[in-house]
Amino acid sequence: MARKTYLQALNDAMRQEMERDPSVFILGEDVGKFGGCFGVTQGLFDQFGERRVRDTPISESAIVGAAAGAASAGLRPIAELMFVDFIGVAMDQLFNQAAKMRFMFGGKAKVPMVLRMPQGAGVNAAAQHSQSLEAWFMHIPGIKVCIPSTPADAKGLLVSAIRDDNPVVFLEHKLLYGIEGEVDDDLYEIPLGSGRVVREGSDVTIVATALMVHRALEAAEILAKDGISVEIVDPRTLVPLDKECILTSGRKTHALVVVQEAVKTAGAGAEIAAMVAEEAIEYLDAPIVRLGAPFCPVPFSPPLEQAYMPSVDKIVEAVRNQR
Amino acid sequence: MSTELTMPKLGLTMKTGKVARWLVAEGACVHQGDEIFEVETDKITNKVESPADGVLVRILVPQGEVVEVGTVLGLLGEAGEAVDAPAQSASAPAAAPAGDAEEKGAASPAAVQAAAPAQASDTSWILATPRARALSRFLELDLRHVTPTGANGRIREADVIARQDVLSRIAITPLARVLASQAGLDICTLTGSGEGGKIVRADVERALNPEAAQAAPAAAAVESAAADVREMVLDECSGASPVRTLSATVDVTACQQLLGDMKRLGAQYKKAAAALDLGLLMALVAARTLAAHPALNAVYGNGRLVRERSVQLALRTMPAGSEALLSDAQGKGLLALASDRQAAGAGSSTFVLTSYAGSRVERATPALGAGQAAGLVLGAPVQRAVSCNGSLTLREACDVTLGYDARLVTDAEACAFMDALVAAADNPLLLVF
Repeated sequence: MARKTYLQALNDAMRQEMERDPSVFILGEDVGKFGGCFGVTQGLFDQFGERRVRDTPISESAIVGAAAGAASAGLRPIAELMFVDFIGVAMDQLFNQAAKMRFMFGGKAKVPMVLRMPQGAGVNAAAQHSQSLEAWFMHIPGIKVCIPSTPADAKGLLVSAIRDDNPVVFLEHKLLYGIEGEVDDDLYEIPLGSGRVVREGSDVTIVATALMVHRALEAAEILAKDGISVEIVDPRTLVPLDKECILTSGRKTHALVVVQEAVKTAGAGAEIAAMVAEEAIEYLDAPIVRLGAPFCPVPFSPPLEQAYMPSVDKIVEAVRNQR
Repeated sequence: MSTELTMPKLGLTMKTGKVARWLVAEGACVHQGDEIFEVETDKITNKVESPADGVLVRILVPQGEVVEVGTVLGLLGEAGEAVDAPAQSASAPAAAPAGDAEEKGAASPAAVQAAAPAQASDTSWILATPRARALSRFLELDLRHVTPTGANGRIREADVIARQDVLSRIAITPLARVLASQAGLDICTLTGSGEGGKIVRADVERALNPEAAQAAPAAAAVESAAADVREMVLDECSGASPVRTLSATVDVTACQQLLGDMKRLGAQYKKAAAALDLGLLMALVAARTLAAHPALNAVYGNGRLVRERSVQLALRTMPAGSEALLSDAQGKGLLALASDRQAAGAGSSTFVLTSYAGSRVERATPALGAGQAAGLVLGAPVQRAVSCNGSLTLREACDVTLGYDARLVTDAEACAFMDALVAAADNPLLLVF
């Protein structure tokens, strides 16, 4: 065990998987010599060379399309887009090609690719570089979606994503790259579809992902002083979703608050809220509350951007007003 | 009769007000002084209190609407009361924009009628969490009588539990419960006239049909009225308690014989032997007699006189001065009482028996425990020559003296108790039956 940042944990996962399995390779814009837009692939070019850490032209459709092709031909590519916001131009390669090959070819083809993309607001990168788009990918059958909140989860989930035989969209939060945590030096997997109870409590369950897990934890400390005991569940992957982990917690606390950074409308939180309503409504002693960003693009102005994102105060207020 | 809740005039210049929030759900019980709705004007927000006890039988103006001062917002009545919507034309709700006032005016009474709980048992219109609703179904508890504490007047699980808690403490006969439930009556609003304030069939019928009940002079009603008068007297003279005493002589020969036999014959009584004496036997006799005379097993406190069904008897033994609480003494046998006495437990009692049986004191004035209606003193046994079938014979006898608070117990009740006590003590074997 060692203290590592979220970024180092991701780097370790790729390095160790590439050492173990020669079919694993990396492609993307500036992932080589430059080490990636945020530095996640730093040092890998020097260690593995340009054949396994490939810089590409500025074309997301080429990156995703090449990854899908290489994966179906037997390699295990890890593709990186600089920002999730750029997936628009490569959407056909992802949702019509990569996601459907295994189904349309009767299982004869498999697409073991990982598509790593930073997302999230909070770095004053404006509307086209700050979105949280996890719900887009959740809606397409055939794609798995990882959204880690801690360094340890980031490493374990990325290893599982690389070894998975299906396309996995791997969403990293820009504000989390620098956070530190205990990470095992050895390779380990966290199975896709296993949620984690981040904090135990008895009065209300907060389901949160990525940056929101950390804000929920801060909110829980404040609420504890009011005598409200908060349980926090991080599903860690949205597809597959660990329903049982969320339901077990909801059945225990009888109240559910879902926090997401993305706009509230048609988000991952809506899916989770609906699932709990369908399967455990009789256990609930308060309306389900969803917390998300307002239905507008992420503002560039720093004060407006702060006001836009779900904050610790907003989580505290939502829990207090729920009962 | 229902009481109209109207938009109050909260300031000199106030002409209209907004019903910001109903704090009580339609169908819920309210007490005088409970906050019932919230009014918002351009100047202030104020919570309005209920003018009376009752049930919010109808909400006529939903929250969020702006109406003129004096507009009837809702009706307060008794549980299960059928209410006709008041003539809205007299005080038509003034909707804010003139343009759609007509449309709203036309739609409003119709909407009220449609929303009115046509079927008395329909609770689908009550705002409650799924968990609260499931629990109320499980407990077969009527959501209309639950007071909500959740946001927007929502009933939560805790509210249902609180209601169940209240219900579980109400003494009511099974028949009365069924009748009240069939009629949609909230049993919290009923006054019990049975033993110890228990709600009986007559109380439910009286609530359903007050006129018929008034016409027929019900004995139970007289009893409860008498009790009310006594409570009033009690409030007025809350100074020194007027304790009266009644004395009688008890023939304890049979009691002593019984105690002697138990000690001599029963090896199993050995452990209890030290606690088996005349005082304990009299405690058993008194407890069983009190169970049939709850007027004397009563405690007054916080403005309420509660006639207890179970006897918490404090037994003081002189000259040792020791005290033991014999809890639920009316249902226990002599050995169980002996073990209670040896445990020398403490706690709040409903009745005190002071035994001088082990001393030479023959008579004493009973001192009553705090708020207690009555207490008893047992004197030392003495040999007395009594006439038996025409010849004199020696018998062992004790004086027993009852002290009672004349504000809580009538002389007749005290006398009836003493007669029963003496009869049982003279022949303790009667207690077997």
